[in-house]
Amino acid sequence: MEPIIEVRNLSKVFKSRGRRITAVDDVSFDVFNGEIFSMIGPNGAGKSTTFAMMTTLIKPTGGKIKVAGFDAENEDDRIRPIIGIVPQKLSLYPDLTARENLELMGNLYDVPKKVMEERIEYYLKLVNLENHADRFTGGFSGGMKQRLSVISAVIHDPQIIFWDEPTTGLDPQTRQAIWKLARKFNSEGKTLIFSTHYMDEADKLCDRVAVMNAGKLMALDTPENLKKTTNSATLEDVFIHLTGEEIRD
Amino acid sequence: MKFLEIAKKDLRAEFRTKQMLNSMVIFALLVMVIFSFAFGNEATIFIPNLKKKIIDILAPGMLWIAFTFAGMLGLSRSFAGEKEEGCLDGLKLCPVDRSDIYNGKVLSNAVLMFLMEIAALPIFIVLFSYDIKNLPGLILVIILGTFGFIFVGTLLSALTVNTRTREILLPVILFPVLIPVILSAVTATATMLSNGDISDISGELQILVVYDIIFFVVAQMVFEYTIED
Ligand SMILES: Nc1ncnc2c1ncn2[C@@H]1O[C@H](COP(=O)(O)OP(=O)(O)OP(=O)(O)O)[C@@H](O)[C@H]1O
Ligand SMILES: [Mg+2]
Repeated sequence: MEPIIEVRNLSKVFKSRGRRITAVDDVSFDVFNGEIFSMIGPNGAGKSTTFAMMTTLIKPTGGKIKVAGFDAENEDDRIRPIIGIVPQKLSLYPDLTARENLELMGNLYDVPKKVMEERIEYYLKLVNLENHADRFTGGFSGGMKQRLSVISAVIHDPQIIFWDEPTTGLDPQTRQAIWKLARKFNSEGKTLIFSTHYMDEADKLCDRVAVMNAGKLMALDTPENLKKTTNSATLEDVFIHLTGEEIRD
Repeated sequence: MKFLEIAKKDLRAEFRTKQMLNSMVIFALLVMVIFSFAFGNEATIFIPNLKKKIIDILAPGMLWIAFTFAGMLGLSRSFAGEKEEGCLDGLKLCPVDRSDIYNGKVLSNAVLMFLMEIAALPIFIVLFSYDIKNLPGLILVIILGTFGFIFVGTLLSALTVNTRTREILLPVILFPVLIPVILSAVTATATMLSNGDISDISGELQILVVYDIIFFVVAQMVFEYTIED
């Protein structure tokens, strides 16, 4: 398996009001081309911060990231066109319609107009939003926004997809729809990296799971191997085993 | 040309609600109406020593107060709305130059500001009974002054968007930087209102043009650092 993302000794320290917060602490791992890779970990474990660095949104304090062979710090302009991102806090324009939001992304990613129109129709149908295409997204439900964000992140046909908690706060139907999309995109050869707080999701969907805790990478393996090595029945037990029982701030 | 896309989506959303444009126009009109009452009839008395009416001394400054304070409303929301919806990160993740984000915002801010001025200027002329002979000259001054305001204002609007006190911080740091623009624009406006010739304001025009160019170029270079976390 060839790695498509290489993370080496990655760390990120935030300084906020005189306090130093080590959000990511000397983390190294690879994501293989074509796999579904998930990150789990308690609140504040550093998942979103790791995502932000892998997607070139913020610069690491230390360490190196290579995405598709490009250096995340110096060649970010080569990485951005080939990745698609659904952030934890969705970024849709509430006073634009669903279609206009998609068109904006298509245009900013240089998708040719005709291809874009076709993809928009296709994807809107795929997530059952075709009848809401001309409604303002400000009035959308959480599930509709999430579905729209998911397709907006693939309008430029990216090679690698990042989803930060794509199913948090969604009903079972929408979660299942999102899993279907994940499998579909993966079957098209795209690499999928997502974070989640649902253990069943990571278990069912992923080739490999990375467990983070307080900025550190605790374990990285297939769900089966994780269960075996920690002598646990479920991924939830693995999680508790690796990250402890106390509640995070 | 991606800055056009960014400006287009801003303006499209704005023209739908007209929230910002309405506030800006109403604010500018209020300022002018209040001042016209405050100045009263005495302001039209001719002062022989100065060969001017009092109103001619006061009105240009008032016009620019109306323009810049109304414009400030738009500037302060320009990046704040984007930030609150999480959209600024979305834009930063797109394969667009940082300067495209700046130029897009400049364009949408400028359109809003010019629309506000187009609504406010005729009211100003009527309210203060001006009979302007050199309207193109006045318009030139307003355009150059407005661009100076927008070029710096958009940059500082991005700079202050991450601070908690941005509504007050923006004007506090913006107005000192704007002093050369405001002074030149007010003086040039006064000359144009008293039917001076364009050659009488060549000095002011020079300052405005140079200021606009400098800040436009500087903003292209430093904007990317202002939106970095
Ligand atoms: N911009 C920032 N400034 C200061 N601290 C930050 C910033 N972003 C994140 N942090 C801190 O870094 C740590 C890791 O946060 P992060 O958002 O990466 O966690 P997470 O694993 O995504 O958590 P969650 O499951 O709640 O989304 C937290 O302690 C958080 O408070
Ligand atoms: Mg997170």
